[in-house]
Amino acid sequence: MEQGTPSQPWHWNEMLEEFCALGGAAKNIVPGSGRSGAGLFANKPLDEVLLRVPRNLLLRLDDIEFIDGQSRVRETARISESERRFFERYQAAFSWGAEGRAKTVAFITALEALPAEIRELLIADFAMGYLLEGDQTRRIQIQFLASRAVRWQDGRVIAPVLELANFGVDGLRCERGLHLQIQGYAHEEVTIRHVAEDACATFSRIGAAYRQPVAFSFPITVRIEDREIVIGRNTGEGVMRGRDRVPAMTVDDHRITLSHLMLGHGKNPRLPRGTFRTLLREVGLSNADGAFDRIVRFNALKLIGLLKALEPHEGPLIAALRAMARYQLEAMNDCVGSRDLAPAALSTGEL
Amino acid sequence: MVEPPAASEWGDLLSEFRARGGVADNVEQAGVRGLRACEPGKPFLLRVPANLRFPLGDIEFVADAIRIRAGAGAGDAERQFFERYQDLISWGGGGRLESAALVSLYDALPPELRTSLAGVFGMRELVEDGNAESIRRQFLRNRMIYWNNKQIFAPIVELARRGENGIPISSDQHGSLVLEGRTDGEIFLTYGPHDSLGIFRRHGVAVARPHAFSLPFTTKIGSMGLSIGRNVTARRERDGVAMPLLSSQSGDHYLSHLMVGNAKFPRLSRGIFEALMREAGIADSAQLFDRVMHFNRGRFLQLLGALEPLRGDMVARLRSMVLFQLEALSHCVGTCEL
Repeated sequence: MEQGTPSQPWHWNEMLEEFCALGGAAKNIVPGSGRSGAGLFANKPLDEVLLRVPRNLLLRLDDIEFIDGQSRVRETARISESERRFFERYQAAFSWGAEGRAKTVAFITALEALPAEIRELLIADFAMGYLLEGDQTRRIQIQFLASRAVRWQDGRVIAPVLELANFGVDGLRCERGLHLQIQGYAHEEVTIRHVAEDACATFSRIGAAYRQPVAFSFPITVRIEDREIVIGRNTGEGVMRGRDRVPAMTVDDHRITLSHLMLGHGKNPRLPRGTFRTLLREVGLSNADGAFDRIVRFNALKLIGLLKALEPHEGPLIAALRAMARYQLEAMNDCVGSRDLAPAALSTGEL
Repeated sequence: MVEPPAASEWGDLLSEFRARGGVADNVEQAGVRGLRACEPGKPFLLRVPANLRFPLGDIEFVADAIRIRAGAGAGDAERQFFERYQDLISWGGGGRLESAALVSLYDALPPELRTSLAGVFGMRELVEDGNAESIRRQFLRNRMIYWNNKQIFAPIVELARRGENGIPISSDQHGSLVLEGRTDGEIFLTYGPHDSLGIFRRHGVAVARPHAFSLPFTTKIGSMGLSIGRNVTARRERDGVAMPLLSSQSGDHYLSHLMVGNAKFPRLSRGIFEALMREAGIADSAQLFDRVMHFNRGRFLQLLGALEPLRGDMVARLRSMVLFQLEALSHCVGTCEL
């Protein structure tokens, strides 16, 4: 078991001063404790909050390592000495060294305590092997980073201070421009939402069940005519078609690869089937409905299989898994009818 | 605690059954509820002639005894046989207690859940009637047999429990109801065409089924109405496929039932619906079918959510039933031309 890192005293306001001196901004934000444990709160609930993390403080996951139980910035990371010092001290005082590590340990040990058949199912059908197999210390570190990371450009980063905000379905949305920031009215607790995350992904990230308005497919390969359709679960990849975000698609002679596939959408129930139909029609496959139905069935049976396996068991994490599976099925159910996507933008060569 | 009848009583009743035209070869009672072959592996035969089949409408309860109504078509000898059979073997021989035990499980459910079961899931009779009436209705629902589009009570045959690989009832050239076959152990009757919900409503058990039928559903398509019922025995054959009955009145359409999933024939559910909607002149059947599916899955997921914080025997049964129904619902893939 990973040894704890004693949290180092550092006053919140002093930390924020240094954060701002390095280019960050924090308005109306204080630390506190809520339903999900330690988090961020609006000091004046009726006023707007702002939290801006400058790009020089966004640490790529690859640039973080754990040495002697402490979160460190790798020697190879392209970061200045002052930012390195800030990040490591911040991690020890407010993040990994505070409640972050303990929360992650609790989640991993609860997963380990699940009945063997449930663990096997989560590994085989829900790609949770990284949480359940291998060295425990390493799993805790990976999970800690995964639970706190946010997308930034083509990768994932830890954004100091902002990563302390708990997840909330109605939380503030991360704005990505020159900096990463959240702003708006939080009323009490400042939470952030992760766009393009379904109930299953949220559970893997934070170990809790939340209703999400969307559901994405688990990885699967299906055939239509002589073509192989490979569906991934990388929801971070995608392209805009009009107002709709659709999966990135690569095509070769016999294989069509979709980065991910939406199966249900509470606000746009005609979008999931419409996306699949349109994308496949554009590569010459007109009869996509049967394949879409097969993908939906594959996903539904996985989730129903999990619910059946959970049936004889009890416990907080069992209840969370049950709720997660149900929320995922609920989101999948929001798939009614179909509509076309906006035409794809022409490439330069086609102009 | 009810004991099975003494061998002599069972023998006397079988003699009476045979004396009135019934046939019971190589059959004996197994416990309080059940039948088995006296000589396992050898053929058994049960034949119930018309005079020993009693329409459910002819049956009444008088002071907790079960009787044939005055004015019903049964002869005196058959009435006497029925009453003696009920008192010794069926209602009085464990049937009443079996039904009372099931009804008490329903009674223990929270009121809001019972309201939901009574409404959307058609279990009103089980969860809303007075206790004694619920027990009687449950007994009849559990034991009755559909025979030539009628609900009847068939002595001896009704004792057989239902099983997933149960034997279907047939008929002979004389119009008798026949149950025959060969078994190494207990004789099981088929569940018939019912899905997991239908079986649950009749027998109170959760059984996996390969197919699912829609919950009652009503919608508007422009100025037309479409209603879907749950009478799964009302059907007609078309190209070897059991189709629901479609009727139309004043521009509104009514389907006796609608299959919404079938593990053995996953393309059939949507294919049947599309064929029937073409007949009815309703366009955009694809989206309409999606709405039916959305409604069904939504209601069962809602029930699953309502069951989540509850515990107990009936809750576990209901939860299993919901999962079986959702599983069957998921086997709706593509379509076919009928």
